[in-house]
Amino acid sequence: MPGGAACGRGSHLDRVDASYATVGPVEEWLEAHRHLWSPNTVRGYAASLAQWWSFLEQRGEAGRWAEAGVPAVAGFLSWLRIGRTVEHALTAPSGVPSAETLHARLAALISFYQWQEAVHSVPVAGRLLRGRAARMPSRGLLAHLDGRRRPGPSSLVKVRRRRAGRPPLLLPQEIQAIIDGCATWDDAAGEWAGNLRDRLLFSLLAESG
Amino acid sequence: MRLGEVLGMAISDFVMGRGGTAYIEVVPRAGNPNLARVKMMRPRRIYVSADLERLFADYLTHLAGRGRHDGGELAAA
Repeated sequence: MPGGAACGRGSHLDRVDASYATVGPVEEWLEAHRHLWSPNTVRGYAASLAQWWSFLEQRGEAGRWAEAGVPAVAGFLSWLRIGRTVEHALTAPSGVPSAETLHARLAALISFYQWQEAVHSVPVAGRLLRGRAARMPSRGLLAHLDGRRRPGPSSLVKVRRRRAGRPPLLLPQEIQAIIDGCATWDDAAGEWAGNLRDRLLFSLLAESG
Repeated sequence: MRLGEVLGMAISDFVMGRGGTAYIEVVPRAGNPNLARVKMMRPRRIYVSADLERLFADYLTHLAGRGRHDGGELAAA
């Protein structure tokens, strides 16, 4: 990658722009949430923002990150979708990202700009979000709960996602086979044969759902 | 129970029933040596069956026996 910063797995390498300078606003936002979020969330958000920054740099707009709007974000998503043709690639090119990945990228971007709006009054989040949810969830008999909480704003830029399928399910006898595979009671010896810790672990998982 | 909750569990988090129902106190801990992490760092209590309690008691016995064989002591949990 000529002129590009190698993107390591380490959390500190992810937010480096093409000139090897750490991106200040991103750094600040991640630092503020480092102990609130799971380490995986921080890593994923850092990667998303690194890609957003390389997108802006490619368009020569990195200095105007605080003026981005819906067209830029929509452009960012299609740039991710059709493959990034950049000389200054921050992250190693991989296959076309799935809808879930794009959704996560968008979520990171919105989180970043919401925080920037709250802390530094950066007026981007208001442009990306509109006042009400696109679709109210159907709650049936719990409909009265809707009055308690205003629905959050929804993004104007959207990623269409497949319906998630049902999670795979183990039958009771399959679960029992796993548990028995760990350790079984040996009548002759009068003790457990196998790895008792594993049996405890899987029994615990099986029982508590 | 979530995997992160089980893997970050200490022996003292399992509270024996003593006539009542045994339960597990999920205690979020930062910096577990195996990197286990409770999702959202949210503590909760999970009640378990007598069978599982018995299995846990067997596991403690097994640990104690192993400790004796190794000549070492059980790590304080």
